[in-house]
Amino acid sequence: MSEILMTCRGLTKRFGKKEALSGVDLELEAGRIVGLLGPNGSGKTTLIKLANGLLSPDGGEIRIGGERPGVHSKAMISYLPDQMYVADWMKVRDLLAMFQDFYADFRPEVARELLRSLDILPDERMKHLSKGTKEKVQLTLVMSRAARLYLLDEPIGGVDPAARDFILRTILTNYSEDATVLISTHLISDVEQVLDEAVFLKEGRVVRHDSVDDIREQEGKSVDQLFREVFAVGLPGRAEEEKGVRG
Amino acid sequence: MFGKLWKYEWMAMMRKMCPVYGAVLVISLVNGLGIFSHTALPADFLEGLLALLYVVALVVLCVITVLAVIERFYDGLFKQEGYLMFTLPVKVRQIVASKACVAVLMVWVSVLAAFCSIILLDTSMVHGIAEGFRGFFVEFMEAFHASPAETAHMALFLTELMIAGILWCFMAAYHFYVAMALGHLSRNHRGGLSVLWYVVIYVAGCFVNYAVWSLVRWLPAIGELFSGVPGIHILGIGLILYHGAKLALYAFGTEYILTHRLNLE
Repeated sequence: MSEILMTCRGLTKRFGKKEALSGVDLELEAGRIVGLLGPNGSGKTTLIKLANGLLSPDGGEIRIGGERPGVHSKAMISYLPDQMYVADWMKVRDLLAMFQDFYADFRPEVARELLRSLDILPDERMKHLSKGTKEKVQLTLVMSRAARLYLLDEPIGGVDPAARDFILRTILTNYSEDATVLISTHLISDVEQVLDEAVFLKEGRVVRHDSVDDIREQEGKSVDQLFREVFAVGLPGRAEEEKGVRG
Repeated sequence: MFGKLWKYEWMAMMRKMCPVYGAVLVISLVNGLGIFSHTALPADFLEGLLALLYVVALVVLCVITVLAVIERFYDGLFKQEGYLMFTLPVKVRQIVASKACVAVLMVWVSVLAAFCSIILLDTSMVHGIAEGFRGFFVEFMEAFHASPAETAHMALFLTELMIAGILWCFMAAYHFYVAMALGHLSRNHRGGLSVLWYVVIYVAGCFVNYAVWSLVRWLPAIGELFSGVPGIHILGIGLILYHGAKLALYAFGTEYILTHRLNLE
């Protein structure tokens, strides 16, 4: 069995009265590309933030490489949030220098090559770049690390199909072989082809965690089709179908 | 890692403050050189206008310095930039300490900029200030030769006061930080609650100050400790311990919340 990179045990997070995550148990092995799949509000971003230590759990625990989120886990994780998180007054060159300063696994030559392929000049200021280009710079920074665990929160949300292709290609060609990539998304059809495993999150609970091959074999349908059935809203007869989905 | 954090914090802060320093220095230089004195406007009106502009620039310098200290902490840790800062492989203590060091340094640079602007208003003051320093040094040396022990004690006391002053500056920065950290624990109205926490901590600090001062005044045994040469050192060291204790309390509170109760929703 491969090394377990991320473990959640009874992980619970509440925001006021709403429970965003309810007793999540999950294990992610090394060397896998995992889709964290669920509709908006299912708890995907909350789970990723907990793994990054940006939120504190209200119950249970999460461990990365055997340790709770901290300096050690942050050195292992390369995180792409679902929003811009770099200061827009900085130049692209400053950001490269910053990542090189703080992350021992940052590969500046990979970053420079990616930026060159995108025609992004190192001297450009972030605030002068378009939203799409900023996202590409951010993805470049994240994927230029030889991290053990990549946590990518909605990397293809809100971008055009051509950009989606670029993003997925960048992810696939730049992650280290022994690393795990966790991609959170609700755009299943775009990522299904690259996934090894899928984790279905529904209302803060893991309703299924299986390999993509097993899902196709057992259900006789694609992950995208299964997703649409599991997360169908307001359609009669869905509840019974959901019973067929393993918890 | 601390040095690297410090470097990026300094860059961010200087980006904000340099234009303000530039504006203050240019306005005082214009005032000092009387560049517009040959215009058609009445001399009194022009002098008054420039003086007013200068005072406004100094007030803006003070306000922006304080706002920059607050903004660098709040926006840098609790808004989008926080996602980057809190995922860097460094300890929370180092992140906060780097911000505090830069904040304190920036306050001193602002004071220096204000001082330079005053000199630019009237360059003849440079000679007077230099004379003042020279006079102080000469008198100090004379006093030292006349009564070395007492002068040494006085110099030591001034050093103690200086250390207490530095600790006070850091304590003031961490007072802002702990108030913002407490405010961020709430889901709503975080900004307003941060202000409220600042006031609550300030009032609590006033009560402690009053209690300590009352103790010194009303208990003769304690009051006597502050008399004579040992007394001034007890006062100096007391101030260091007092500000140091408050600083440690605020720093611990800030670090605890940001480490164990971080909530970047």
